[in-house]
Amino acid sequence: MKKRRLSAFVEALLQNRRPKKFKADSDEAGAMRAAIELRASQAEEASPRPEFVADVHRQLDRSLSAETTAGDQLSIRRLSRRRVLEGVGIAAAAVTAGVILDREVLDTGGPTTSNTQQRLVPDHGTWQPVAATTDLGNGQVAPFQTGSTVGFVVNKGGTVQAVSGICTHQGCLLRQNPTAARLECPCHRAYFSLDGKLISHELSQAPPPLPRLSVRERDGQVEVYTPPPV
Amino acid sequence: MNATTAGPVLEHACLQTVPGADLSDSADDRRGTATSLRSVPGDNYADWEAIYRDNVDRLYRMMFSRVGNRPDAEDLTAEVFRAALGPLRTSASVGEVRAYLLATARTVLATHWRRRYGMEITSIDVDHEMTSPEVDERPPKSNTTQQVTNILAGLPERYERILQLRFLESYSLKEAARAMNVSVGNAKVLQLRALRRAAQLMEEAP
Repeated sequence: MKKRRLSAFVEALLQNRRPKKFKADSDEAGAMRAAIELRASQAEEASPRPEFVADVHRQLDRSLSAETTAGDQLSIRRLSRRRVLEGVGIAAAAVTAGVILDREVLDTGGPTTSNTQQRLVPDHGTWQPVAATTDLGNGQVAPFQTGSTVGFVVNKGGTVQAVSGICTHQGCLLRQNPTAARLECPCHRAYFSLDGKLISHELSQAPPPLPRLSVRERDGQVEVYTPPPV
Repeated sequence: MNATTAGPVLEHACLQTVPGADLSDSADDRRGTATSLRSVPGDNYADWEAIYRDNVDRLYRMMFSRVGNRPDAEDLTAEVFRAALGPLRTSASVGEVRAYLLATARTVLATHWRRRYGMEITSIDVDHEMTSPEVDERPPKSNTTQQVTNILAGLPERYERILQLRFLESYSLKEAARAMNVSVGNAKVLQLRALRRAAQLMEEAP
Protein backbone atom coordinates (compact mmCIF):
# COMPACT_ATOMS: atom_id res chain seq x y z
CA MET A 1 0.00 0.00 0.00
CA LYS A 2 2.73 2.40 1.03
CA LYS A 3 4.86 1.30 -1.87
CA ARG A 4 2.03 1.76 -4.28
CA ARG A 5 1.20 5.31 -3.27
CA LEU A 6 4.83 6.32 -3.20
CA SER A 7 5.35 4.85 -6.66
CA ALA A 8 2.27 6.70 -7.85
CA PHE A 9 3.71 9.92 -6.43
CA VAL A 10 6.96 9.36 -8.34
CA GLU A 11 5.10 8.54 -11.57
CA ALA A 12 3.02 11.71 -11.24
CA LEU A 13 6.13 13.85 -10.88
CA LEU A 14 7.82 12.20 -13.82
CA GLN A 15 4.76 12.74 -15.99
CA ASN A 16 4.28 16.29 -14.76
CA ARG A 17 0.93 15.49 -13.22
CA ARG A 18 -0.45 16.54 -9.87
CA PRO A 19 0.23 13.70 -7.40
CA LYS A 20 -2.68 12.33 -5.35
CA LYS A 21 -3.05 13.19 -1.72
CA PHE A 22 -2.44 10.74 1.10
CA LYS A 23 -1.29 10.77 4.68
CA ALA A 24 2.46 10.45 4.51
CA ASP A 25 4.85 9.22 7.19
CA SER A 26 8.36 10.54 7.68
CA ASP A 27 9.96 7.69 5.77
CA GLU A 28 7.81 8.43 2.76
CA ALA A 29 8.40 12.15 3.16
CA GLY A 30 12.13 11.63 2.72
CA ALA A 31 11.67 9.61 -0.46
CA MET A 32 9.20 12.19 -1.79
CA ARG A 33 11.69 14.95 -1.07
CA ALA A 34 14.41 13.06 -2.92
CA ALA A 35 12.10 12.49 -5.88
CA ILE A 36 11.23 16.20 -5.99
CA GLU A 37 14.86 17.20 -5.85
CA LEU A 38 15.78 14.83 -8.67
CA ARG A 39 12.82 15.89 -10.73
CA ALA A 40 13.48 19.61 -10.22
CA SER A 41 17.05 19.25 -11.39
CA GLN A 42 15.74 18.81 -14.91
CA ALA A 43 15.53 22.45 -15.82
CA GLU A 44 13.40 22.22 -18.98
CA GLU A 45 10.29 22.12 -16.86
CA ALA A 46 11.47 24.67 -14.36
CA SER A 47 10.43 27.83 -16.22
CA PRO A 48 6.83 29.00 -16.19
CA ARG A 49 4.79 28.56 -19.38
CA PRO A 50 4.08 31.91 -21.07
CA GLU A 51 0.35 31.05 -21.15
CA PHE A 52 0.41 30.57 -17.41
CA VAL A 53 2.16 33.89 -16.84
CA ALA A 54 -0.41 35.65 -19.04
CA ASP A 55 -3.37 33.89 -17.38
CA VAL A 56 -2.38 34.85 -13.88
CA HIS A 57 -1.72 38.38 -15.05
CA ARG A 58 -5.29 38.55 -16.37
CA GLN A 59 -6.77 37.13 -13.18
CA LEU A 60 -4.84 39.57 -11.02
CA ASP A 61 -5.79 42.47 -13.23
CA ARG A 62 -9.46 41.54 -12.93
CA SER A 63 -9.44 41.15 -9.18
CA LEU A 64 -7.29 44.18 -8.48
CA SER A 65 -9.36 46.46 -10.67
CA ALA A 66 -12.66 45.02 -9.40
CA GLU A 67 -11.53 46.15 -6.01
CA THR A 68 -11.29 49.77 -7.05
CA THR A 69 -14.54 49.87 -9.00
CA ALA A 70 -16.70 52.17 -6.98
CA GLY A 71 -20.33 51.14 -6.74
CA ASP A 72 -19.67 47.47 -7.21
CA GLN A 73 -20.25 46.90 -3.52
CA LEU A 74 -20.90 43.20 -3.80
CA SER A 75 -17.60 42.42 -5.42
CA ILE A 76 -15.79 44.68 -3.01
CA ARG A 77 -17.35 42.86 -0.08
CA ARG A 78 -16.55 39.49 -1.53
CA LEU A 79 -12.97 40.51 -2.12
CA SER A 80 -12.54 41.92 1.31
CA ARG A 81 -13.85 38.73 2.81
CA ARG A 82 -11.39 36.72 0.80
CA ARG A 83 -8.70 39.17 1.73
CA VAL A 84 -9.51 38.69 5.39
CA LEU A 85 -9.31 34.92 5.00
CA GLU A 86 -6.02 35.19 3.17
CA GLY A 87 -4.83 37.68 5.71
CA VAL A 88 -4.57 34.95 8.31
CA GLY A 89 -2.03 33.09 6.20
CA ILE A 90 -0.17 36.25 5.41
CA ALA A 91 0.09 37.27 9.02
CA ALA A 92 1.42 33.81 9.80
CA ALA A 93 3.92 34.11 6.98
CA ALA A 94 5.05 37.44 8.29
CA VAL A 95 5.60 36.12 11.76
CA THR A 96 7.50 33.03 10.72
CA ALA A 97 9.69 35.00 8.37
CA GLY A 98 10.33 37.77 10.80
CA VAL A 99 8.84 40.19 8.32
CA ILE A 100 6.68 42.85 9.80
CA LEU A 101 4.03 43.94 7.42
CA ASP A 102 3.20 47.11 9.14
CA ARG A 103 3.44 50.42 7.45
CA GLU A 104 6.63 51.22 9.31
CA VAL A 105 8.44 48.46 7.50
CA LEU A 106 6.75 48.97 4.18
CA ASP A 107 7.79 52.53 4.67
CA THR A 108 11.44 53.22 4.04
CA GLY A 109 12.36 52.11 7.53
CA GLY A 110 14.36 53.96 10.10
CA PRO A 111 13.35 54.95 13.57
CA THR A 112 10.01 56.57 14.16
CA THR A 113 10.77 60.00 15.41
CA SER A 114 8.90 63.22 15.05
CA ASN A 115 11.21 64.09 12.15
CA THR A 116 10.45 60.95 10.17
CA GLN A 117 7.88 61.30 7.49
CA GLN A 118 5.19 58.68 8.01
CA ARG A 119 3.18 56.98 5.36
CA LEU A 120 -0.55 56.85 5.75
CA VAL A 121 -1.51 53.31 4.75
CA PRO A 122 -5.00 52.34 5.89
CA ASP A 123 -5.59 48.71 6.86
CA HIS A 124 -8.54 48.63 4.52
CA GLY A 125 -8.39 51.17 1.75
CA THR A 126 -9.39 51.68 -1.84
CA TRP A 127 -7.93 53.67 -4.68
CA GLN A 128 -9.91 56.87 -5.12
CA PRO A 129 -9.55 59.17 -8.12
CA VAL A 130 -8.69 62.69 -7.00
CA ALA A 131 -7.63 64.52 -10.14
CA ALA A 132 -7.39 64.06 -13.89
CA THR A 133 -3.80 63.49 -14.95
CA THR A 134 -4.17 66.17 -17.60
CA ASP A 135 -5.06 68.70 -14.90
CA LEU A 136 -1.87 68.00 -13.03
CA GLY A 137 0.94 69.22 -15.23
CA ASN A 138 4.50 69.41 -14.08
CA GLY A 139 4.83 71.63 -11.05
CA GLN A 140 1.11 71.77 -10.42
CA VAL A 141 -0.63 71.07 -7.14
CA ALA A 142 -4.24 70.01 -6.58
CA PRO A 143 -6.06 69.79 -3.26
CA PHE A 144 -8.26 66.73 -2.83
CA GLN A 145 -10.89 65.51 -0.47
CA THR A 146 -12.16 61.94 -0.25
CA GLY A 147 -14.81 60.75 2.19
CA SER A 148 -12.10 60.10 4.76
CA THR A 149 -9.01 62.15 4.00
CA VAL A 150 -7.95 65.54 2.72
CA GLY A 151 -4.65 66.27 1.10
CA PHE A 152 -2.70 67.55 -1.85
CA VAL A 153 -1.32 65.84 -4.92
CA VAL A 154 1.62 67.41 -6.64
CA ASN A 155 3.40 66.63 -9.88
CA LYS A 156 7.08 67.23 -9.51
CA GLY A 157 9.00 66.56 -12.67
CA GLY A 158 6.67 63.75 -13.69
CA THR A 159 6.56 62.12 -10.28
CA VAL A 160 3.32 62.60 -8.43
CA GLN A 161 3.14 62.56 -4.68
CA ALA A 162 0.29 62.88 -2.23
CA VAL A 163 0.48 64.29 1.27
CA SER A 164 -2.07 64.69 4.01
CA GLY A 165 -3.64 68.14 4.19
CA ILE A 166 -3.96 68.24 7.97
CA CYS A 167 -1.45 70.08 10.11
CA THR A 168 0.42 67.68 12.37
CA HIS A 169 0.40 70.23 15.18
CA GLN A 170 -3.26 70.50 16.13
CA GLY A 171 -5.18 69.22 13.14
CA CYS A 172 -6.16 72.38 11.27
CA LEU A 173 -6.72 72.06 7.53
CA LEU A 174 -3.70 73.30 5.58
CA ARG A 175 -4.06 75.62 2.64
CA GLN A 176 -1.85 76.01 -0.34
CA ASN A 177 0.14 79.17 -0.87
CA PRO A 178 0.37 79.25 -4.67
CA THR A 179 3.06 81.91 -4.85
CA ALA A 180 5.40 80.36 -2.31
CA ALA A 181 4.76 76.70 -3.35
CA ARG A 182 4.09 75.61 0.19
CA LEU A 183 1.31 74.49 2.52
CA GLU A 184 0.42 76.74 5.41
CA CYS A 185 -1.44 76.16 8.62
CA PRO A 186 -4.14 78.76 9.26
CA CYS A 187 -4.00 78.22 13.04
CA HIS A 188 -0.35 78.76 13.91
CA ARG A 189 2.72 79.59 11.93
CA ALA A 190 3.75 76.27 10.49
CA TYR A 191 4.81 75.80 6.87
CA PHE A 192 5.28 72.59 4.95
CA SER A 193 6.79 71.94 1.55
CA LEU A 194 4.55 70.38 -1.08
CA ASP A 195 6.08 66.99 -0.34
CA GLY A 196 5.17 67.34 3.31
CA LYS A 197 8.44 68.33 4.95
CA LEU A 198 8.46 70.99 7.61
CA ILE A 199 9.90 74.24 6.28
CA SER A 200 9.55 76.44 9.32
CA HIS A 201 7.41 76.98 12.42
CA GLU A 202 7.11 79.18 15.46
CA LEU A 203 6.02 76.54 17.90
CA SER A 204 7.84 75.34 20.98
CA GLN A 205 8.30 71.92 19.41
CA ALA A 206 8.61 71.10 15.73
CA PRO A 207 5.52 69.33 14.39
CA PRO A 208 6.25 66.12 12.43
CA PRO A 209 6.23 66.17 8.64
CA LEU A 210 2.94 65.50 6.85
CA PRO A 211 2.17 61.82 6.27
CA ARG A 212 2.38 60.72 2.66
CA LEU A 213 -0.28 58.72 0.87
CA SER A 214 0.20 56.09 -1.80
CA VAL A 215 -0.67 57.44 -5.20
CA ARG A 216 -0.89 56.05 -8.70
CA GLU A 217 -2.11 56.98 -12.15
CA ARG A 218 -4.76 54.87 -13.80
CA ASP A 219 -7.03 55.49 -16.78
CA GLY A 220 -6.07 59.14 -16.90
CA GLN A 221 -6.84 59.66 -13.24
CA VAL A 222 -4.54 60.30 -10.34
CA GLU A 223 -5.68 58.00 -7.53
CA VAL A 224 -4.77 57.91 -3.85
CA TYR A 225 -5.12 54.98 -1.50
CA THR A 226 -7.48 56.01 1.27
CA PRO A 227 -9.74 54.44 3.88
CA PRO A 228 -13.44 54.03 3.04
CA PRO A 229 -15.62 57.14 3.53
CA VAL A 230 -16.75 57.80 7.09
CA MET B 1 -5.23 53.83 -21.20
CA ASN B 2 -7.08 50.71 -20.12
CA ALA B 3 -6.89 48.69 -17.00
CA THR B 4 -4.36 46.19 -18.28
CA THR B 5 -1.86 48.90 -18.97
CA ALA B 6 -2.37 50.77 -15.75
CA GLY B 7 0.03 53.61 -15.79
CA PRO B 8 3.06 54.10 -13.70
CA VAL B 9 2.61 54.46 -10.04
CA LEU B 10 3.70 57.92 -9.31
CA GLU B 11 4.94 57.34 -5.88
CA HIS B 12 8.55 57.73 -5.01
CA ALA B 13 9.27 57.00 -1.41
CA CYS B 14 12.79 58.34 -1.31
CA LEU B 15 12.31 61.60 -3.09
CA GLN B 16 14.29 64.32 -1.43
CA THR B 17 13.66 67.93 -2.15
CA VAL B 18 14.92 71.12 -0.74
CA PRO B 19 12.08 72.34 1.43
CA GLY B 20 10.12 75.02 -0.28
CA ALA B 21 12.00 74.61 -3.52
CA ASP B 22 10.35 75.88 -6.64
CA LEU B 23 8.74 72.85 -8.22
CA SER B 24 9.10 74.06 -11.77
CA ASP B 25 12.77 73.87 -12.28
CA SER B 26 12.92 75.05 -15.85
CA ALA B 27 10.85 76.05 -18.82
CA ASP B 28 11.42 72.58 -20.25
CA ASP B 29 9.86 71.01 -17.22
CA ARG B 30 6.89 73.24 -17.49
CA ARG B 31 6.12 71.98 -20.95
CA GLY B 32 5.74 68.44 -19.65
CA THR B 33 2.29 67.39 -18.60
CA ALA B 34 1.06 64.69 -16.35
CA THR B 35 0.13 62.57 -19.34
CA SER B 36 3.80 61.78 -19.82
CA LEU B 37 4.34 60.86 -16.19
CA ARG B 38 7.18 58.41 -15.91
CA SER B 39 7.56 55.59 -13.51
CA VAL B 40 10.45 55.93 -11.15
CA PRO B 41 13.02 53.18 -11.40
CA GLY B 42 15.51 52.31 -8.71
CA ASP B 43 14.49 50.81 -5.46
CA ASN B 44 10.75 50.77 -5.93
CA TYR B 45 8.40 48.96 -8.24
CA ALA B 46 6.22 51.09 -10.48
CA ASP B 47 3.02 49.10 -9.87
CA TRP B 48 1.69 45.61 -9.19
CA GLU B 49 2.40 44.61 -12.77
CA ALA B 50 6.06 45.45 -12.32
CA ILE B 51 6.11 43.37 -9.14
CA TYR B 52 4.46 40.52 -10.98
CA ARG B 53 6.70 40.65 -14.04
CA ASP B 54 9.85 40.85 -11.98
CA ASN B 55 8.98 38.02 -9.62
CA VAL B 56 6.76 35.52 -11.42
CA ASP B 57 9.62 33.62 -13.02
CA ARG B 58 11.64 33.47 -9.83
CA LEU B 59 8.68 32.37 -7.72
CA TYR B 60 7.53 29.74 -10.19
CA ARG B 61 11.03 28.25 -10.36
CA MET B 62 11.24 28.18 -6.62
CA MET B 63 7.84 26.49 -6.32
CA PHE B 64 8.70 24.00 -9.04
CA SER B 65 11.89 23.08 -7.23
CA ARG B 66 9.82 22.44 -4.09
CA VAL B 67 6.93 20.45 -5.58
CA GLY B 68 8.48 18.90 -8.71
CA ASN B 69 5.41 19.11 -10.96
CA ARG B 70 3.91 21.82 -13.11
CA PRO B 71 0.23 21.83 -12.06
CA ASP B 72 1.08 22.30 -8.40
CA ALA B 73 3.86 24.80 -9.12
CA GLU B 74 1.44 26.89 -11.20
CA ASP B 75 -1.37 26.80 -8.65
CA LEU B 76 0.90 27.72 -5.77
CA THR B 77 2.61 30.53 -7.67
CA ALA B 78 -0.74 32.04 -8.62
CA GLU B 79 -1.91 31.72 -5.03
CA VAL B 80 1.12 33.61 -3.74
CA PHE B 81 0.42 36.55 -6.03
CA ARG B 82 -3.31 36.54 -5.29
CA ALA B 83 -2.64 36.62 -1.58
CA ALA B 84 0.26 39.06 -1.64
CA LEU B 85 -0.54 41.71 -4.22
CA GLY B 86 -3.60 43.17 -2.56
CA PRO B 87 -1.94 44.21 0.69
CA LEU B 88 1.34 45.15 -0.99
CA ARG B 89 2.11 48.79 -1.51
CA THR B 90 4.34 49.68 -4.38
CA SER B 91 6.00 52.14 -2.06
CA ALA B 92 7.78 49.21 -0.43
CA SER B 93 11.31 48.68 -1.69
CA VAL B 94 12.19 45.86 -4.06
CA GLY B 95 13.84 43.98 -1.20
CA GLU B 96 10.80 44.35 1.04
CA VAL B 97 8.45 43.23 -1.71
CA ARG B 98 10.57 40.15 -2.36
CA ALA B 99 10.82 39.31 1.32
CA TYR B 100 7.05 39.60 1.57
CA LEU B 101 6.44 37.42 -1.48
CA LEU B 102 8.85 34.83 -0.09
CA ALA B 103 7.18 34.86 3.29
CA THR B 104 3.82 34.40 1.60
CA ALA B 105 5.24 31.64 -0.60
CA ARG B 106 6.55 29.85 2.44
CA THR B 107 3.14 29.84 4.09
CA VAL B 108 1.36 28.85 0.88
CA LEU B 109 3.74 25.92 0.38
CA ALA B 110 3.52 24.76 3.99
CA THR B 111 -0.29 24.83 3.83
CA HIS B 112 -0.22 22.91 0.57
CA TRP B 113 1.87 20.10 2.04
CA ARG B 114 -0.09 19.82 5.25
CA ARG B 115 -3.36 19.70 3.37
CA ARG B 116 -2.12 17.17 0.83
CA TYR B 117 0.10 14.83 2.86
CA GLY B 118 -0.38 15.82 6.48
CA MET B 119 3.19 17.01 6.84
CA GLU B 120 5.64 19.39 5.23
CA ILE B 121 7.64 17.62 2.56
CA THR B 122 9.75 20.58 1.43
CA SER B 123 9.99 24.15 2.66
CA ILE B 124 11.28 27.59 1.80
CA ASP B 125 14.05 29.09 3.85
CA VAL B 126 13.33 32.79 3.52
CA ASP B 127 16.65 33.97 4.92
CA HIS B 128 18.55 31.66 2.64
CA GLU B 129 16.55 32.68 -0.41
CA MET B 130 17.05 36.36 0.32
CA THR B 131 20.80 36.06 0.63
CA SER B 132 21.49 33.51 -2.10
CA PRO B 133 22.25 34.70 -5.62
CA GLU B 134 19.23 35.47 -7.73
CA VAL B 135 17.82 32.33 -9.24
CA ASP B 136 17.39 33.85 -12.66
CA GLU B 137 20.92 35.15 -12.76
CA ARG B 138 22.70 31.92 -12.26
CA PRO B 139 22.98 29.47 -15.10
CA PRO B 140 20.08 27.03 -15.05
CA LYS B 141 20.74 23.57 -13.69
CA SER B 142 24.03 24.54 -12.05
CA ASN B 143 23.29 24.34 -8.34
CA THR B 144 20.62 21.72 -8.23
CA THR B 145 22.29 19.45 -10.68
CA GLN B 146 25.58 19.64 -8.84
CA GLN B 147 23.88 18.52 -5.66
CA VAL B 148 21.96 15.85 -7.49
CA THR B 149 25.13 14.63 -9.18
CA ASN B 150 26.85 14.40 -5.82
CA ILE B 151 24.00 12.47 -4.32
CA LEU B 152 23.74 10.08 -7.23
CA ALA B 153 27.49 9.49 -7.07
CA GLY B 154 27.17 8.55 -3.40
CA LEU B 155 24.63 5.78 -4.09
CA PRO B 156 25.28 2.09 -4.73
CA GLU B 157 25.62 1.54 -8.44
CA ARG B 158 22.21 0.01 -9.14
CA TYR B 159 20.43 2.71 -7.16
CA GLU B 160 22.31 5.37 -9.06
CA ARG B 161 21.47 3.70 -12.35
CA ILE B 162 17.72 3.45 -11.77
CA LEU B 163 17.43 7.08 -10.65
CA GLN B 164 19.63 8.23 -13.50
CA LEU B 165 17.46 6.42 -16.04
CA ARG B 166 14.16 7.48 -14.60
CA PHE B 167 14.78 11.07 -13.50
CA LEU B 168 17.56 12.30 -15.74
CA GLU B 169 16.95 10.28 -18.86
CA SER B 170 13.16 10.05 -18.68
CA TYR B 171 12.94 6.29 -19.07
CA SER B 172 9.58 4.76 -18.29
CA LEU B 173 9.54 2.11 -15.61
CA LYS B 174 9.28 -0.58 -18.28
CA GLU B 175 12.19 0.83 -20.28
CA ALA B 176 14.32 1.20 -17.17
CA ALA B 177 13.54 -2.38 -16.15
CA ARG B 178 14.55 -3.63 -19.58
CA ALA B 179 17.76 -1.59 -19.56
CA MET B 180 18.68 -3.01 -16.16
CA ASN B 181 17.55 -6.49 -17.02
CA VAL B 182 15.10 -6.80 -14.14
CA SER B 183 11.33 -7.15 -13.89
CA VAL B 184 9.12 -4.07 -13.72
CA GLY B 185 8.22 -5.01 -10.15
CA ASN B 186 11.88 -5.16 -9.22
CA ALA B 187 12.59 -1.87 -10.92
CA LYS B 188 9.80 -0.30 -8.88
CA VAL B 189 11.20 -1.62 -5.61
CA LEU B 190 14.71 -0.62 -6.60
CA GLN B 191 13.53 2.87 -7.40
CA LEU B 192 11.88 3.35 -4.00
CA ARG B 193 14.87 2.00 -2.14
CA ALA B 194 17.14 4.26 -4.15
CA LEU B 195 14.98 7.26 -3.28
CA ARG B 196 15.05 6.40 0.43
CA ARG B 197 18.81 6.08 0.32
CA ALA B 198 19.11 9.33 -1.61
CA ALA B 199 16.93 11.00 1.03
CA GLN B 200 19.37 9.89 3.72
CA LEU B 201 22.28 11.30 1.74
CA MET B 202 20.45 14.58 1.26
CA GLU B 203 19.87 14.88 4.96
CA GLU B 204 23.53 14.26 5.66
CA ALA B 205 24.62 16.75 2.99
CA PRO B 206 25.08 20.33 4.20
